[in-house]
Amino acid sequence: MMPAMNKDELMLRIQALEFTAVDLNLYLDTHPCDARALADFNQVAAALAQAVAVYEQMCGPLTNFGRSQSCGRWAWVEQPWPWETQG
Amino acid sequence: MDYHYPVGCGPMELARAYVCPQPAYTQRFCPVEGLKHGTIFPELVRVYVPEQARPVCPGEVG
Repeated sequence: MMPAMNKDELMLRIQALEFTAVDLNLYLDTHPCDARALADFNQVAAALAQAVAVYEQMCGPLTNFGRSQSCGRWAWVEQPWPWETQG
Repeated sequence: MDYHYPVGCGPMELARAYVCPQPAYTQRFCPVEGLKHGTIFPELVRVYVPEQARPVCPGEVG
């Protein structure tokens, strides 16, 4: 169960989980038989999917490529641009 | 392919990349720490120390 987070905390969690998934992806490219890394990748991927689902339900779609719906209104354009978020 | 060397440096090796064998996966940073360090692997963390001046190329003028 994911702890309750505000929008910024959720975005940080998504960015951190995506980075972890990419780094594990790179490791697994050269160590495809590492069962522990694979298990961690799958756990991170599941946590990332959950975090993305929660964020999109709260704030609207993270991407506009048809992977998620925009319920009630076209919320995509309401997301902050990268330069509008705090580093 | 033709390379264009900086004036004064002459024909010299432009760059060389090494891929060190990575130790077995035993531990990793939590996601937020990994994002801060730029790697999830503690053994790959290196402190970046900015240099005030770059080393002079052999044969470089001025």
